[in-house]
Amino acid sequence: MDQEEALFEEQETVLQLPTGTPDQMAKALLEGQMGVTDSHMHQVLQAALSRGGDYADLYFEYAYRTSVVMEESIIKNSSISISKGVGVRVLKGDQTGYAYSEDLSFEAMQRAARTAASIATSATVKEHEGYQFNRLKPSNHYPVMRTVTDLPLADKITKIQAAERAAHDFDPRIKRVTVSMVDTVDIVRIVTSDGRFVSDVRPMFRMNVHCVAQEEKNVQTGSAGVGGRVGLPFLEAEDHPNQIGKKAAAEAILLLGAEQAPSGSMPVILGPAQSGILLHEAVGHPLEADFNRKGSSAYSGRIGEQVASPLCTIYDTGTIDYDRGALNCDDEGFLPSQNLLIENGILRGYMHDRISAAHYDLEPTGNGRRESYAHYPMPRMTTTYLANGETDPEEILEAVDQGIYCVSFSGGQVDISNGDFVFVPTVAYLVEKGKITKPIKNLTLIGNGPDAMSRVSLVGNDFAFSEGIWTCGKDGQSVPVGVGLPTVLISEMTVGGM
Amino acid sequence: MIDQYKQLASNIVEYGKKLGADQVSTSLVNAVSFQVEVRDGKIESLKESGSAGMYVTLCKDQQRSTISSNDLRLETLRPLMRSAMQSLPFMGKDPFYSLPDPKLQGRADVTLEFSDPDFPIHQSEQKVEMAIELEEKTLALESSLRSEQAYYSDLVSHTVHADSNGFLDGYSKTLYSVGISVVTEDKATSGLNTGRKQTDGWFSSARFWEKLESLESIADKACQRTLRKLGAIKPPTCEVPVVFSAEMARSFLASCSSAMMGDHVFRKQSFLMDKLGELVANPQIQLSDQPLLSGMLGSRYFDSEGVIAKPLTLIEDGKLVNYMLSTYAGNKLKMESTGHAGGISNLVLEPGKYTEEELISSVDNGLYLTSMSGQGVNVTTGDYSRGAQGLWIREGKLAEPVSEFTIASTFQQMLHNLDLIGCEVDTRNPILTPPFRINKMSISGT
Repeated sequence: MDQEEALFEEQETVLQLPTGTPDQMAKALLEGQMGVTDSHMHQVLQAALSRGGDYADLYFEYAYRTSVVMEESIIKNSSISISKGVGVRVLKGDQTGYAYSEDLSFEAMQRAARTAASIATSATVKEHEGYQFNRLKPSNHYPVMRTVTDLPLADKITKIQAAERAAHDFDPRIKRVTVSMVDTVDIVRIVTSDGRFVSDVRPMFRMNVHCVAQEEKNVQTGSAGVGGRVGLPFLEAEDHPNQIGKKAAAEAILLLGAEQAPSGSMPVILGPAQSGILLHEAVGHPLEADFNRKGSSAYSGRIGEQVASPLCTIYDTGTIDYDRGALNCDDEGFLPSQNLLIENGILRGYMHDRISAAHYDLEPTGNGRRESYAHYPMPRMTTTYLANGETDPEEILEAVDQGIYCVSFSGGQVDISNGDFVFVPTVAYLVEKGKITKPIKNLTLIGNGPDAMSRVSLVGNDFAFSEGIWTCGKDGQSVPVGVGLPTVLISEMTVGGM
Repeated sequence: MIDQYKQLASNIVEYGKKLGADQVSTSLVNAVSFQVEVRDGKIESLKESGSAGMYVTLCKDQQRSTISSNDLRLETLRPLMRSAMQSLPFMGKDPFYSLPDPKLQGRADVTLEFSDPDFPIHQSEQKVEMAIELEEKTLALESSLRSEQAYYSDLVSHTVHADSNGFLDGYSKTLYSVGISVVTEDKATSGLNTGRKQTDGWFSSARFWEKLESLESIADKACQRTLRKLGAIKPPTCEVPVVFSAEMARSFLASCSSAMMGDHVFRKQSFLMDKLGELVANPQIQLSDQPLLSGMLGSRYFDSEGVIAKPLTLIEDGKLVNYMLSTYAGNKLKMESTGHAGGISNLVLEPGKYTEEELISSVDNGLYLTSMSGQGVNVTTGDYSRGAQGLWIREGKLAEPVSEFTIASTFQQMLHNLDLIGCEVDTRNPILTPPFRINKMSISGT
């Protein structure tokens, strides 16, 4: 055992995340641990523009992720993952050159910069006199002093066990429970040739429970999760493990007694919070400006037109504190804004990154996002929501004679060009004569974005943001997003059951 | 590259043992990729990347912990491994976790062609030119088409696996892709307030440059597929036969195959659990996993645990005869690993004798399915409900395009109702399937 103890004594700093402000943390990591100096950054930007590019930026990222999984009442695995790298982007007009390096040595970064530079092939290259970095200090929408990463493993396990117990205790028909806890600290620094210099420390926490319920041959599943850009106080404030354990179990048990959903066109009530996924698919994606710049969205060239019911006012913003979609700065270093997309049904604006904003001659909206250093940014949603309405949710229910009421969803998808979208409820009910009656299962809702949004006939006064559980995929890049919505009635939509 | 990674992998395994782990395994992957997107004859983006990843699993007394890192320096990996070792006492004991039986490990005794020796000779200029040419050829076919993007991409990857059983092996693979998507204006024939457009495209992908489809053929398919969507209407709510294009057949079989994966079965999350030996599909159906097909995208010598790859029959004359098992799933189900850690290799639905045209002409009134969307696939219960697009079939002929509707059934019924199998196999991905007909599904539209 002697040798083993000796091995454990050797201490290296790599697993200690630095502390302080985002800028101090990024500096401690990049300069202190990896030797990336301001002078290196200047020279790499210079190399990036050495072929005549108009603009270059560097995106440094260090992500530290831990996860613990419990299954069959056994803590099956814990994992630690480190991912670091720098992405070098060069723009020439609206053309992008991109390369990245996972090795942060000066030589490797220079190589990446020269590769990205090749997008431009000008004979004449402006001499750069060096860059003046303007160090931005954005306001912090997720000031997390203690992250879940700091929680000792034994304490994480206690919380996981509590969630598992809550699920099993809910009903003996719950046969299997899987609980996972994942937390990430993502430290980024963005440095641009036009002088933007900003660092951000982005915590992300997610806890999830998945249950299998069985009654004779009938097997159903349920799941529930919580999370966001939150730290330990979030976990300490409420008994989340217990709540999501019960919620996941309740969903699986409910579905054991659910009937097959009906088919055909009918009124659909979307419950508050999670149904915001409707906006994300029906409106959000088609309003990402890259699709509009290319003229491939059903909303292209329609600014100022009525594209939704006058009851709809829709925003996208990265400024919702601690939300899963929050960002202190986007991945191009721009600050988030309260971005009005649709006002009383009239299309007001798109979501932009640097390239599309330049194309439309507008300011970027803080929507330039990327999955990691290995990807170049594109216009993406942050937190998309429909503003509160005036109708009592009870009245909305009473307005429906025969229809369905949707509570929670497994996800959605949209075809940008023709506007067709689907979304898939997990918990939904039949509505008969103004009352919620039986739970239903196995259904998909399908609609056309502009068409469905025009059929929004009532908007409730019970606005809520969804739990922080959503991940959005586009062109192979995943980013966390948020959604929110009050109760909404869509007067007619196609419900696909059997 | 492979030799250098083998050295690192065996160092890591040795270090894990030194730390007191009784079982250690590690995988290393390195990939170098190139991608260019063009639009309107101009480069939209050009991306080159090289990435690495290392995964290590450490186990002691049936307690397990894993790490992953893209920093492959020992001074990073060692403290990570030590920290994983320190977390082990907090883990539960899982009696089913083990490395594979060494007798099952090794490299299949065949030569698989999946690395193009000519990979380095193709220059960036040639690749960019190829995407530009594809775009030109496509747009020349029809003046109403606009380009969304044409692209070319390639990838060379190196993978090494090692464990404390003494397994140590690796391989390199190459992959090329070229494709285009185009968009055109459309008018909605019903519904409110739409600015409807239609987009579609086509791509080719292959492990060898010369196996890529001709640009003319890709352009032609992209054009046809987009134009045929114009003027789509919503079909009536009804029950009709559905012909799945090869791409949609692939999507269906991908979901089916996950129900045959051991980890879904022992978790009771498969509609095929407890069904071994039973008739689960139409007796014409022969489905197997074939890792040793030369040149195919899913081919491999061994699985991600180093278990030797060999063909496995899954459904024979409609009867479920095997699940696909990793070592862990095998231990759970008291069976041997079938070499399926990491999933399917090439999933093969044995082709029938009908051309796609014959499948279509077999339908009097029904749907030719070309696109599905949404997450309405429940492998636990077998429920299947998807958003869909396609073309209506009238009297055996393709008629008007249809969209904004759903199709629904269950896997159980679909497998039994899969009664006609086509003969033209799509080889662009690891699921090798022809189109087929399912003789009854629910359509929900108007």
